[in-house]
Amino acid sequence: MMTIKKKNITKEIFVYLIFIILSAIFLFPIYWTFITAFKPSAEILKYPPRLIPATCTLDQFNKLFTAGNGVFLQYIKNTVIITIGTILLVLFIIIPCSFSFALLPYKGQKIIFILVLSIIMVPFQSLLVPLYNLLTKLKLFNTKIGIILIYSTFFMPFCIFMMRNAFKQLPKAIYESALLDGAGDFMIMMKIYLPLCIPSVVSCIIYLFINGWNDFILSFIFSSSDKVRNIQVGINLFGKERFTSDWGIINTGTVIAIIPTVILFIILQKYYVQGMTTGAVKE
Amino acid sequence: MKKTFCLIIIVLMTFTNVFAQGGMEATKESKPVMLTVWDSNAGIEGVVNKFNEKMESEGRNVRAKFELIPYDQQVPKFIASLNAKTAPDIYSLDVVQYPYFISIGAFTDITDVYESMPYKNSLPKGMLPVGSKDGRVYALPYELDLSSIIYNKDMFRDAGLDPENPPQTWDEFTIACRALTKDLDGDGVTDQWAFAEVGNSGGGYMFWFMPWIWGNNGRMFDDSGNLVLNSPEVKETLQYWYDLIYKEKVVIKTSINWGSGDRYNAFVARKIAMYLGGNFNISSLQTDAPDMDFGVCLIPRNRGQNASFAGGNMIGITSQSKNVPEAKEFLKFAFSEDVLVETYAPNLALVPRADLYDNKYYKAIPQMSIFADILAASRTPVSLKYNLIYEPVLYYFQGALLDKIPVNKAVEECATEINRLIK
Amino acid sequence: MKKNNGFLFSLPVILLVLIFFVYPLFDVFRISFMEWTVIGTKKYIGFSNYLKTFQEFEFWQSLSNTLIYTIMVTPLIFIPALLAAILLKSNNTRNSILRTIFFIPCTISLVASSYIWNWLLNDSYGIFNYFFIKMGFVSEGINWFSSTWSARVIICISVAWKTFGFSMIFILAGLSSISPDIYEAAEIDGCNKKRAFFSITLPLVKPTLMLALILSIAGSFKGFDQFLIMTGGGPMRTTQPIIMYINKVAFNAYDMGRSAAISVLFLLILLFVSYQQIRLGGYYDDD
Repeated sequence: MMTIKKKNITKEIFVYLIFIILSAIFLFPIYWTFITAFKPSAEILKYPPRLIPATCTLDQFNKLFTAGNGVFLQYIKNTVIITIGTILLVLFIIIPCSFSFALLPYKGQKIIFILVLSIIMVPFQSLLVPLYNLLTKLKLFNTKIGIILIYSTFFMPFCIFMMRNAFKQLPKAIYESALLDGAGDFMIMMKIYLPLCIPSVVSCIIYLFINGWNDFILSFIFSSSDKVRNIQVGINLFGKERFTSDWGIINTGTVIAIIPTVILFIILQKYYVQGMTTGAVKE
Repeated sequence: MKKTFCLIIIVLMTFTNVFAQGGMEATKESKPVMLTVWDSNAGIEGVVNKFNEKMESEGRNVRAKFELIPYDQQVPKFIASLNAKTAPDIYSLDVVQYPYFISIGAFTDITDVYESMPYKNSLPKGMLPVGSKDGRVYALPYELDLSSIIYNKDMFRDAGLDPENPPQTWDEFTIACRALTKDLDGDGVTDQWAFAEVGNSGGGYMFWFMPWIWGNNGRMFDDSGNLVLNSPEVKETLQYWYDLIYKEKVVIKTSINWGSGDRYNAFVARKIAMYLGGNFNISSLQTDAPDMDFGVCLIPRNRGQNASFAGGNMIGITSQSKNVPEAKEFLKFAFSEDVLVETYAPNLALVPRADLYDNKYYKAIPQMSIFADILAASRTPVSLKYNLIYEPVLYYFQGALLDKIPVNKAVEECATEINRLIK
Repeated sequence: MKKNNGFLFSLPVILLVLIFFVYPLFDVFRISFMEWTVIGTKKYIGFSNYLKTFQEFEFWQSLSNTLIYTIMVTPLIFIPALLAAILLKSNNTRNSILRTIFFIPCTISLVASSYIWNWLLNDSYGIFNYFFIKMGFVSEGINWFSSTWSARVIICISVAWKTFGFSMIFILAGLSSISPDIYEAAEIDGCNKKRAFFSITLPLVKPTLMLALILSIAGSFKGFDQFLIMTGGGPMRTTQPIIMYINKVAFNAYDMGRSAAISVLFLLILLFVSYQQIRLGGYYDDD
């Protein structure tokens, strides 16, 4: 009996050790970028490289935020405005829409639902030219509003699907009895249904935030000035500087770009995973 | 069903049109004149600020605002803005792009501004034709970039070379390279390289490799604009670069995939003794490598004359500008001695007027003294479809230096491809 | 069906879909038949954009680059994801910590992960080359992006590192939806663990696996950011994916018509993959 237990403990320790080493290797790239951001410039180009920095400074952050008259702060601001704008617009329009898809049938609804879902099927990467054409015509090229509208269109189908499922799972009898009490559709949605679906709303918000914050190609193509560019495009501009390539600045920009999404994920893991796996499992 | 669908489409089309027109009315300009200035070089912001101060002190309702356009987006963004009718008033754009944009009428005739300049003869003559068409002037050289070699004088001394007499010909260059390539710690692996060649950008080959071709009497275009890249002189030049890597083994091989920033970093980290840089590196080298003794010299020649690529930006007024008189005033202001010397010279950026090169800022830096000579040796190739040259040049020249295509074949196919594209 | 506010409720979404999705979708076909170089007039030229595209070596090269990338990266994402999902299936603290760790790279952007890997693999100052030299694999720093296959492998590894956690979570969700009762019943019937995996787990989780696979393939087809940042398409365009080509033709060579034609071809190729996604995702089958 004793020997079996002992064997088990050794095995457990062994398994844990392997897992610790494995995760250390797995997270090493992120660690390496983090410590590079805190090294002084001279040490970054030193060979052999140091695994643990000899001195820690905020020089790189200072350099990043003062470069080009603080243009990086502007990129962060743009990204925040565009992301929040997208979240607000999408929630504002998809909640009633999902509600109608779940509870308020009308003629032609099925076609509209299929149309919305077909956005998932058509990659927006294949519509870059016509979207560029459209934005130019609407005078929305290189504007935050233009980018918000495009994000909203291509990120919302998933949210509609998720919210509609959430509304549908609630018993229909609630709606009918509320209707008999004389409540309007809008009041029923806001006062009764929405409070019961808050987890799904949170999942939508996270989904939109991650997609908006991490987008590169849409912002890259549909923005042309520092007033609109987002943080990912900003990092690429620093990385593709013409005559210099400052790895201190690039790594620091990268660190700033990954912190919000990683923190959000760690705090709201459950919702995040729910948001990302909708549709994976048939209920 | 089909009917409904068609109806939706019609409604949709109407919507977009209504929006489009609504948008147009909304952008009617307001009373005060606001000049938009685009540049890929942030230096001009100082000019804009000085201009605004002047306008304010004179109590005039004219202001300028500056927008930084990243170098690799300056053409796409310009095209987009011309298309959207939102082009800036003033654009300081890469010199090589002007022939095309002037040919499609994107710039305004500023011959009168040029003629009124008392210092017009001090503007670089090699660049002026690029901004002119049929005897009219559409753009003027403004922010200059000259390709040259920057070398580490300490490494020259350690290798027994004279740091004050850098190599001028290919033969001298090869000899210097052999002396500068070293295995410092004796482990059989080279850790100090003589040189790094151009790597992963087509623009880089034009700016830094073309002067080697010129120095061997080769050319890309002849005087009537025909492509003459397919010549023994060009093949010889590419072969020379190839030999430096594979025969002489004095060029760090990984540099074939570097950008100019990587070359700069390697020079700062003292991994290479000489590199292809330019005036734009001088002030940053002073901050990044304050204890390094470095010199600047011309790119070596073989059968021809030492040459340099006169790059950088020319400045012009776009044809969509609604404030041409004010924009012309801005141009004249931007070329005045005070503005040029006090805005650009302190950062060691090259000013376009040769009569201003003995200013106190350049004089304080010994490395700046040679740029007047380099400017005199510099030239700019003219092509209407310059943008289309980059791709094939990168593909074939890098391919040859990576040892993936034989040198002669690379030059021939590159010429065929460029001819096909610009036809 | 009685009258209600349903249509009114979905009107904003309908408008957005019509203007920013349906109209561009028609427009891309329309533009693909036009000669349009942004500046200047548009004119219809029939199928010549398509014919020109088919004759262009760069088109076939970009398409095959995308295919090669997809074929290479899919198993690199999928096999570790499946293994991790099976190993981390049971719920305990250790497993949930590991799941979190494996998922962290999924939350960062492709731009960030590409720069992280570029810096790790930098030929002069990168830590990986230092390790390799110390271990004696190479004698001096290697530029991993100067040869076609090493560049491709590096991009695939970096993308697999970044995205495999997503597939893992997906498969885990499928695994956890299998009721434990089935296993109990199988055990009573004398079924061993290995057989239970192949005859119960795998068939039940197959739809989820397929969906994860399709999502990963669709994502690989649309790859752009990682190529632009890590190699810029080089060396000699051998890592240039189709999206980069579309983007280059449109916004560097200003040939909007031809770019639209390539987009249409890309769309048609991807439509099959995406249709499978919709079908397997169970988006339609509810009523």
